[in-house]
Amino acid sequence: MDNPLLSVRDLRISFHGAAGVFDAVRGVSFDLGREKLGIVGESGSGKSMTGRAIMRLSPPAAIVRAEHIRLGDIDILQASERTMDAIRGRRIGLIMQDPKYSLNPVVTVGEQIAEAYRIHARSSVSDARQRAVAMLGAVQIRDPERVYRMYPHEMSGGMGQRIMIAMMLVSEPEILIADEATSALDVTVRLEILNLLNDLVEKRGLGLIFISHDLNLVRRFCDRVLIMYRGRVVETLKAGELDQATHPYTRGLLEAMPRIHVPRKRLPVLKRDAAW
Amino acid sequence: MVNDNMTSQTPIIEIQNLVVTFGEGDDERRAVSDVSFSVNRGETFGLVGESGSGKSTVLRAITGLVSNQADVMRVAGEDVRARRGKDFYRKVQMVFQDPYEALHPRHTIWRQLMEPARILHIPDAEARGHAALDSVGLSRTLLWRYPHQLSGGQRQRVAIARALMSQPDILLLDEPTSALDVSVQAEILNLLCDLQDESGLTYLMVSHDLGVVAHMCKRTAVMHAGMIVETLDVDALINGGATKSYTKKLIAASEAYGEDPRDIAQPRASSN
Repeated sequence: MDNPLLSVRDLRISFHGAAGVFDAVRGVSFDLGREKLGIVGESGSGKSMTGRAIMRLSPPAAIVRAEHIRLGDIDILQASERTMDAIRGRRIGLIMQDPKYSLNPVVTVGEQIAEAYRIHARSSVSDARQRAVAMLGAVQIRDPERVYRMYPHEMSGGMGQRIMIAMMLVSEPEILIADEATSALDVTVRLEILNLLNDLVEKRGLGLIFISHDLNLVRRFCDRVLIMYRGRVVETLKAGELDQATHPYTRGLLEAMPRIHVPRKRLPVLKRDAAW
Repeated sequence: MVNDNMTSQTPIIEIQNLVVTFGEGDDERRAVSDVSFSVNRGETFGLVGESGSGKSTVLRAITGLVSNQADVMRVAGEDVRARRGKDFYRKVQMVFQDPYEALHPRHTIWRQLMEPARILHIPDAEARGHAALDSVGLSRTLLWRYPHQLSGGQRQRVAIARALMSQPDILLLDEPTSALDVSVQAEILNLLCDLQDESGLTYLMVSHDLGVVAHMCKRTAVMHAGMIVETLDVDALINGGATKSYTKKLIAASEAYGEDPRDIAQPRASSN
């Protein structure tokens, strides 16, 4: 890939505990362009760890090594904490699963979006307010002036997630990491949020890393998919070509899913191979 | 689909005009409104809906975990509008969404299984405990472990084994696989089908996942805002037989990013 937005080479994350060394991520490499890149895996596969390492938000006990994690000409692993402050939220945004736990409960949602803007752009209070209201409109919230003054507990799950997206996009990042961003949402709401993300990625030319456990969702939504198992990328495919997956783990996952239109008496169970 | 031969037409669960309200006075809010349905012996009946639709509250009302009113509420041959006795809980057991929260963190697996035996005065508790573990496919070497020492799938197997201790007729399943990975979900759904084949259990299953409901159930009720929008055969649900606009919207949203794109073009093959 020429001039990727982000390049990750041989990322390794390990934890040293009483029980010995645990390798959570074991040599992950990928490049991200202006695309929707899915990272799929089951719990414990290291997909979220990979997402956090890109923002250098790994837990203190984690030992993170890599050939490089490069954003433009900055190597994230070598960057100063001050540089990272300018990157987190400004150049790379992160949306997490549940907006209930990501928003400050005692500040109105509009002020939180305005604050996110003011941290990165020197602007007047009124300018930040205008940007926040405009951003609420951009994530298709009706009556943004009214919603600006509302508190997180007054939001539904779908609205809360729109607020999170607005907050992440207000400083116009190049990369957005969505970590199970739609998993806690109902299907009808999920559809709206995905359509919104899709529009924003296309209009603004963002690179999106979409971390999910949901293979069907990712194959329909993303351009390219990395499949992770026990800290490794076992396979990389164009999302539309997931049918042609060759790795037995990917095939096993696809088969294990109940399919609405194809009734089966029993679901095939994944047989794990220690060599994967 | 599953277990047709054992399904008979006697309703084992019969509910008419169930109402559940939370709060009092001005804060009073109806969580469940005039819900009626019946479930036949040996079948798996689904309750689908989005969060807040009241589907879990229906299960909790049946067990008496929330107070409720109903014109008719007959479960396993008993009128359960009055106080439920121990006999009721021998016949009706529940499996919850998150097996970690449903198990006592400081009790061993064995003690988790013995607890209902003690409370419900179940005879031959030890023999049944071993049998329950065998039937959910758990090794007896796990007996003295604690929940945190097990995987998510193993924990859900323990929760199911515990529910089987009283040899119930009915299992109320509240999103039993939505906290699990798909590969583990497949194992648990297969296990539930096997148990039903062996002992003719009746399942009332709550889920937000149409794929899971289509796999497990023959009939389902679609809930929205505390009410049943419609009750229909799963075959009809899948093949465009839904008549209400909410049901159609729910299916469209599930298919938009949920289904295997190869499958949508194809009509569902007849399952019988």
